[in-house]
Formats: sequence, C-alpha cells, structure tokens
Amino acid sequence: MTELFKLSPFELNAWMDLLIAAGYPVFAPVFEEGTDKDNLYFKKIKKWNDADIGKLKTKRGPKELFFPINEDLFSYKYNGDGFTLEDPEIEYEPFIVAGLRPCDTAGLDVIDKLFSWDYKDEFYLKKREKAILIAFTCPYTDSSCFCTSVLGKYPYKDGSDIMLTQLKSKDYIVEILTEKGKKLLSHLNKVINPASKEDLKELKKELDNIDKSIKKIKIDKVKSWLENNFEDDYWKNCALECLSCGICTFVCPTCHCFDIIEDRNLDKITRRRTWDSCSFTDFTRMKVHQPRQEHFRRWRQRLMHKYYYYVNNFEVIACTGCGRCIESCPVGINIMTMLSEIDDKGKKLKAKA
Amino acid sequence: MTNIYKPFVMEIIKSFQETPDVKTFRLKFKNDEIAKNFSFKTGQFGEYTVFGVGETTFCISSSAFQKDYIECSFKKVGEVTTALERLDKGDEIGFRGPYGNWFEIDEWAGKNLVFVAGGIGLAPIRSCFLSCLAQREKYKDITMIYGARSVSDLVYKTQLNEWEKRDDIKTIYTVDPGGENSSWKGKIGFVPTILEKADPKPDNTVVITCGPPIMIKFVLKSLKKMNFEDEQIITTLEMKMKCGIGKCGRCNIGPYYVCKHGPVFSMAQIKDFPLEY
Amino acid sequence: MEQILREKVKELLKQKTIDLFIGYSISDPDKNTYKPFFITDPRQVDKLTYNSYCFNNLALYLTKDELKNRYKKIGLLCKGCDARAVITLCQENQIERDSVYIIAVTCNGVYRDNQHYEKISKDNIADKCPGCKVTNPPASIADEIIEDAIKDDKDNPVNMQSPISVWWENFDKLPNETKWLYFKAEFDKCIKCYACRQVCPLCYCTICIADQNLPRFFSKSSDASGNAAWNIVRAYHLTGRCIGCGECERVCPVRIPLMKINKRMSQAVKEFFDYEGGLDKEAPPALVTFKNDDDENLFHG
Ligand SMILES: Cc1cc2nc3c(=O)[nH]c(=O)nc-3n(C[C@H](O)[C@H](O)[C@H](O)COP(=O)(O)OP(=O)(O)OC[C@H]3O[C@@H](n4cnc5c(N)ncnc54)[C@H](O)[C@@H]3O)c2cc1C
Ligand code: SF4
Ligand code: SF4
Ligand code: SF4
Ligand code: SF4
Ligand code: SF4
Ligand code: FES
Repeated sequence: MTELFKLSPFELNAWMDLLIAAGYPVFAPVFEEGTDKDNLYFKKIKKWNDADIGKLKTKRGPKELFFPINEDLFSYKYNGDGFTLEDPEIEYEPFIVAGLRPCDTAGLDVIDKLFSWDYKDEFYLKKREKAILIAFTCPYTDSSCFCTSVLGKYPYKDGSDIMLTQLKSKDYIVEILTEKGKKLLSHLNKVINPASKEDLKELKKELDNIDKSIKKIKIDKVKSWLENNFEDDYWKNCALECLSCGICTFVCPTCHCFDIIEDRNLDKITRRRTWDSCSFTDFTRMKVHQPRQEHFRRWRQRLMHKYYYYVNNFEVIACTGCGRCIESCPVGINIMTMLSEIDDKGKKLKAKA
Repeated sequence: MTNIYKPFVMEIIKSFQETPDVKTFRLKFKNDEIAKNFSFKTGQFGEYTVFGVGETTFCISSSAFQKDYIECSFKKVGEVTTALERLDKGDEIGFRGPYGNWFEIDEWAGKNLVFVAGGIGLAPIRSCFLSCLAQREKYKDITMIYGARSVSDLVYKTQLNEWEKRDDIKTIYTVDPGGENSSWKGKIGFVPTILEKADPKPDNTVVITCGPPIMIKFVLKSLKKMNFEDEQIITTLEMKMKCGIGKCGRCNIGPYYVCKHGPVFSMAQIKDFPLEY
Repeated sequence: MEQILREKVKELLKQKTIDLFIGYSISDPDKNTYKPFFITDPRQVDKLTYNSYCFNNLALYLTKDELKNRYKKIGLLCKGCDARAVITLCQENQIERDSVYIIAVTCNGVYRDNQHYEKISKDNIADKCPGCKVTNPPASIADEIIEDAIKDDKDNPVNMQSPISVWWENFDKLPNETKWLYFKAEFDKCIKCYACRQVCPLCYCTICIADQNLPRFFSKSSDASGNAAWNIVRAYHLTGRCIGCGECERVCPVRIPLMKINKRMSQAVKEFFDYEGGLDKEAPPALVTFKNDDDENLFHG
C-alpha cells in the first residue's frame, strides 16, 4: 500500500506532538549533552522540537532501541532450598521511532532475520513488533555513504511504516507504507491534502538528487571472490593499521553479536547480554585454543560475515552502506575501499576463468 | 513470554570423579512436568548454568534412551568449569537445551560402527555408543577404540570395564607411551597407531571420532591410509559458544554456526570449511 | 618538510635500513582526515604526508607481535608525544631501541578536529597540546629530527597554559561528591568498546585485566558499576605512564573526557614523585620504583 500526502513543517510538528500527547513514547535523533555534544543518538523526546532532524546521522543507529547495549535476560535468587528464576519485567508497548534514515531501517531488517530463525528471540522481536518506524529521506549525505550500492535504488523503503521527504518548498511528502503507519494518521485531527501530481514530480526530483549525491561502488563480484579466497594473501596485508577496537561493530546498525554474562548484586543475580564484537581478541578465545589470534583473521571474519556468511544464511548482506564504521574508525579504515579492491579482484578472476 | 535464554533448574543426583580434573554429574529436572517432556538426540549439547558464575557448553554424555536422567562430563579448564567442579550431589544447576544437530544413528542400521575417542572426547562418543548399544541388533560389528594420555586420564573407568566384558562389541583401550602403570593391561601407544593396528575395513562402515584436534588430525590421516572416504567419517567440532542457539554470533566457522548446523559434521563437510577452528 | 621526509624514507627503505615505515597518508579528502600509513615499497613514498591533522600516535604499532614478527626493523614518524611513548616502551622493556628507527618531527601542536583551518591558533589547537614539553622531541630517542621552526613566543598556542589544568583548578574547588557525580555521569556513557585501550601505546598487555576471568575483576557489561570500574582501573594502570598523547579521548566514540583523568593522575605523580613519563629513556618508571622514604600519599589522597 502506498498513500501519499503533503504536510507543512508546522503540521508535521503538530502531528508528532499529538502522537506524544496520545501517549506514544517517541524516539528521535537528539544531540547528546556535555562532552559528547556533537553526536546524535536516538532518545525519547518530550516534544518534536527537541528532535534534531537536520542531519539524521546518528552515531549508533536505532539498533540499541531493540537490542540494547546491556539487556537483562532473567534474574535469580537462592530462597533457602533452591534457586528461583524470574523473567525481567518488561511491558511491551507501542512506540514510535521517528527520524530514521532508510539505511537505519534496512539495518533492522537485517537483524530481524537472525533473531527470528528457529529460536525466536522475543526480547528483540516483541519490541520490533510494537515499533512504528517513521523514516526521513536523507537531508544530508557525505563521502562515507554508499547505501545504494548495497540496497539498490534510493530510497530503501521496505523497513519503514511511513517515509517523509522534504521538498524544496520545505513541505513534506508523507508516504504511508503500512497499516501500522496508517493508524498514526488518524491522530492528525484535520483533513490533510493528498499529494498532487506536481508534488510527486518534485518528490521524484528530490529523491533523484539524493541518489546522485551518494557514492557508487561496485560490489557484485565481492561475494564470489570471498567464497573462494579465504586463504588469499590479501587478508594478511589488509587493514594492518586496525587496532581491533570494536568501534566499527558497535556503531554498525547490523552487527548483532553479544556476550552472555552474570551481574551480581546484593540480593539477586542477573544474567544479561552485552554487545560483543568479532574484532575483540577474546571473542573466540578458549583456554587452550584461539582460532582468530592474528588480527587479520578477525578482520576477515568481519568482512566475510557481512558479505558472504550472512548472505548464505539469510539472503541479505549484513551491511547497509551507512558508512558509520568508516566515520568512527580511529585509524581511517574504509570498508568501501576494501570492497572496491575485492570487487576488482573478483572481476580479474572472472576474466581469467 | 517464552524466554529462550532462561534455563531449567536441575539437581545433581550423583557425581563421579572420573580423573583428577574430569567430573561427571547425573542430573534430574526439578520440575516433573519438564522431566517427562524432555528428550534429546545423541550428539546434542546443552548450556549448563552454575548459579552465580555463568554458563558453559557440554554435550549430553548419557544415552538418548535413558529417560530418567541426563549426564554431562566436563574437564576443569576455566571460570565456569572451575566453579562447577566444586558442586556435588544435591546441588542445583541450570540447563538449557538440547541444542544442535545429532548423530544419525538410525541411518547407520546394518553397518559396522567404529568409535575412536581420545581423552574427554569420549563424552559425546559415549552418548552415541550407548545409544547404539541400546539398539544393538540394528548394527553389525561395533568397535570402540579409546585412548588417553595416562591411565589416570581415562574417563568412565567402571563402564570401560563393563564394555570390555561384553562379547558383542570389541574394545581396545590404550594410553600414550609413558602413561601406563604396573597394573595396566591395555595397549600402549597413540590412538592413530592403535587404530591402524586394529585395521578396520572401510566397507559398510561408519567411523565416529572425537578428541583433541591433534589426535583428530592424525586419526584422519590413518583413516585415509585405510581407504576410508570422508563421507564415512563423522566427528564433532568445538568452537567457543555462548547462546547455543544461533544468535550470539560466536561459533561461526565460515557460513556455519556450529551450535546450529553442528556440532556433528561429516569429514566431507568439514573439508570445505575455512580453516578457522 | 613533507619532501624531506619522503626523501629520507625512500633512502631508508632502499638501503634496507628499515623494512617498514609507518607514517601518515590522507584518508578521506572530503572530510580532511588522515590515517596511519604502512609503507614497504620506496616507490610509494609520495603518498606520505605530514601536517597538523595527523593525530594518530603511531608508537602503538611497535608492540604489535604481528608486526614485530614480520618486520625486523620498523621506521616510525614521531611527534613529541609519540616519541614519549617510544621512550616509555623502551623503559618498560617492551621494545629494543635498536629495532626501531625514529624520525622525529618538531611540533607546533595538532588541530582539535578535521575542519579546514589556516593555521594553528588558540581556538583550534587540541586540548592536549598547550603546555607540551616535547614540541622539540627529546634528541635521545630520535635517529633523525626534522625541524619545523617552533616559535618560542607567548603567541604560539603550544606555549599557553594547558586548558585541562585550568579546568582542574576550578573543578578541584568543588566538593568531592560533585566531582564524583560528574565523572560517574561520564563513565555511564561508556559502551566498553575498549577503543581507548586499543589505541593507547602503553596498553600493551597481551591479556588485559578487563578480559581476564580467573579471577574476574569487573563485569563485562557496560552498566554503571562495571564502567566506572573499567575507567578507573585503566586510569590507575596508566598513572605515571600516560604520556599525554590524548588518543584515548580522541577515539572514544562517546567522548568521555579521559584526558582530564589521565592528566590529573600524571600531575599527582609529578607532585609526589617529581616524575613524568616518557621523557628520559634511562629513568626508572615511577610506580615500579620502590623508595624507602615514599610516604604513599598518592594512594591515600
Ligand atoms: C558443542 C560442544 C560440546 C562440548 N562438550 C564438552 C564436554 O562434554 N565436556 C567438556 O569438558 N567440554 C566440552 N566442551 C568444551 C567446553 O564448553 C569448554 O571447555 C568450557 O566451556 C570452558 O568453560 P570455562 O568457563 O571453564 O572456560 P573459560 O575459558 O573461562 O570460558 C568462559 C566461557 O567461554 C566459553 N567457552 C570457553 N571455551 C569454550 C569451548 N571450548 N567451547 C565452547 N565454549 C567455550 C563458555 O561460554 C565459557 O563459560 C564442549 C564444547 C562445545 C562447543
Ligand atoms: S574501528 Fe577501525 S581500528 Fe577499530 S576494529 Fe574497526 S577497523 Fe579496526
Ligand atoms: S559495515 Fe559499516 S557501512 Fe556497513 S552497515 Fe555496518 S557501519 Fe554501516
Ligand atoms: S561477526 Fe562481527 S561483523 Fe558479524 S555481526 Fe558479529 S560483530 Fe558484526
Ligand atoms: S602534545 Fe601536541 S604539541 Fe606536544 S608533541 Fe604532541 S601533538 Fe605536538
Ligand atoms: S573508548 Fe570510551 S566508550 Fe570505549 S571503552 Fe574507552 S571509555 Fe568506554
Ligand atoms: S553459540 Fe551463539 S551463535 Fe552459536
């Protein structure tokens, strides 16, 4: 279903505030305070004016709203003659995430697959089910964006319930993409204008402009090269500068690895999960054996997992081309450059064969 | 809500000190309802909780036909196993499972079975072996070759003796040179050497092997020499695990999740794996 | 000076004095960022660059086993603070002085971020730089020094008073409770990505205390208690060793003001022991040196 409407910025503001007033928790990009003041994070807002939708490039993406950095799985107590286990008390209520970029929703679509294959991870899935996602097409793109090379034609719409695009006139075209999204419209207590032919032309122009501003790289030979070149010398020389810090995976909207740990408090103990990263040396370290000791093995795991292993299991690349890892890497490692190099190798291989 | 990370409470109803650093626990669910509905297939594993410390992965080492309890055997190596070792009869632990795939023992009907195990690697092999013995009539010859570093490192000693006495199976036990003592009546030599001497024939045979990586490596060489095909050789892989259910991303070996696609693999599958385990 | 550097490195590589040189190259021209650059082939020297946007402390690579095993002699470009790291690594017997070839550069400070600036000024200089004692790197550690004239006058922002010290002067007047709450709120943001540790040239332990589990020192989850424990333990481990390169703070994805802590710790060591890390490679490190007349005030506060 697609329904298109037009809203002025003023109406958008009113609509969002009405949704908040109706009791929906609304999460949107907000600048952090204090020392971290130039990073955007998804946070619960009290009024739409608090949201900053100028750039939408949040530091860590929306995954933490569904898969928090730390999450309690259950807790337990010793009650004299045995252990009793308790589920965490969570009430899953509908909530809205507004100000996502198309690549942000694409990231959630990637993680959905893992959390729902055979064993259903309800901690994640329940939140997903309740969430209503309002994406905005990108008001700002830069040299680390390459989403269209991975996701195809701009914008990726599958993950959003509603998608907004701001036109030159500052008005927004609102695309209602799902039933969930449609329900939110009923909160707008006035008649709204369907988009006119003229508006749609403008919309197309706007989207084409964004598409054009995004870097294009070729990745179609990447997977076939990865499948056949696990032992290639390329790996030993790639990313020598890498520090094995976990930043690239922590900021990535598709990385989903976690550790399971025990947190002890005075009266009860909690089992939680906490984000982990294949970049860390102890990710696979066992007492007698560590299959990924050298750092190149960990880097290879990261790329292989994203562009080959995950695709085999879930038919989707575990990367959305959002560029966060590029932006945050302390030593300037650029996955785009590496993908291009690998694609070139893939092409040469094909040519030889 | 169904919480896939929450274990069930089990009680240790019996504990065996197998070797100085290997222990076996016999476990029973506290909740009768759960006990009644629980079943597993041989080769599957579980996640065991030491309350207050954490969770760790072991295979279920008892027979899949044993409905009254399950057993696990573990070696003390790190944080959780050290804490587990301190527990004893009457103590409670948590259990999630069974997880992973299994040995397809029914598909082996009408075949000869050769089990080759080293050290604590006998744990998964024992489950498979006992499950096959429970339906002994389905198979032709069954051979068990088991070795450990020294006599004191042999696990399940009482059962080894019982098996030795049976005349419908062949057992060969060995210890590494230097690991014998004065009362040792078994063989002396490394498992692959003993295997070659036993000289099992590849026709209509399945080999199930498990043990330290170095032993597996040489066992495979020996089997090759004796003309076994990769498809006939079944083993289990070990990779660090946390969730056991294909979520935490830790047990990746190439496109496979050992906790989900494994831990049981045929050599034919493993041959194509990236060398990272 | 870039040209001089390129010529030197070309020579060194050609004559096989070194088998690897670690310097800088441009990373993303659009964003004006620079990154560490590994070079083994003399024909590649034209990619080498150096300017005040070259933030990384390259000394951290010297302790990486994978590089040590692969390259016999590594050449390294060092600003003053990087050179201090090399000195500390020598003091702590982590590297052999002879296994590295140090090209030091005199330094007028680095920028605080990647915006385009004309020249260094008090408004755009990184917080770590003012008050720096090694703008002329210690000659004892350098095989070669490339000079870039340093202005000795007051206008040169490197000669200003350290903004971090100024901050502490005011902050120290606050009640302890308030001070603790400030840092606790900062630590709360930590996501335990360990980038601060990985980027630090002096966090070279093969298995960091944070990764040990027998015994386990603090929780791996990034909740309030685990975070504070991690950040404080790291600060203690660097007390008297931190050489002030500011890399941990620069890379921290949530911008925890780690240098405020490190700087304070270093100040304390200086006050109590009259010692500063990474200035003299022959000097014994403060916190491993036992003195009979030590009044242990540092730890009792
Ligand atoms: C499918 C499978 C079956 C296994 N069956 C047995 C068995 O029957 N008997 C036995 O003694 N051992 C078995 N292991 C190995 C056993 O899991 C580890 O020895 C044990 O987890 C070490 O735990 P620890 O806390 O003492 O070690 P630490 O090194 O302190 O590890 C901390 C945590 O890391 C993880 N971990 C560490 N090493 C391993 C490892 N080798 N495999 C999986 N997770 C690991 C665990 O979650 C563990 O709790 C099996 C491993 C797998 C993957
Ligand atoms: S962020 Fe950069 S340095 Fe850190 S692990 Fe990723 S690639 Fe390596
Ligand atoms: S790998 Fe990098 S570009 Fe791809 S989704 Fe993750 S952060 Fe974005
Ligand atoms: S394996 Fe690495 S790259 Fe893949 S999801 Fe996990 S942390 Fe991310
Ligand atoms: S602290 Fe600043 S001025 Fe001093 S050497 Fe380092 S970068 Fe240069
Ligand atoms: S870099 Fe920052 S967020 Fe990461 S572990 Fe260090 S203090 Fe925490
Ligand atoms: S153990 Fe978590 S994915 Fe396999």
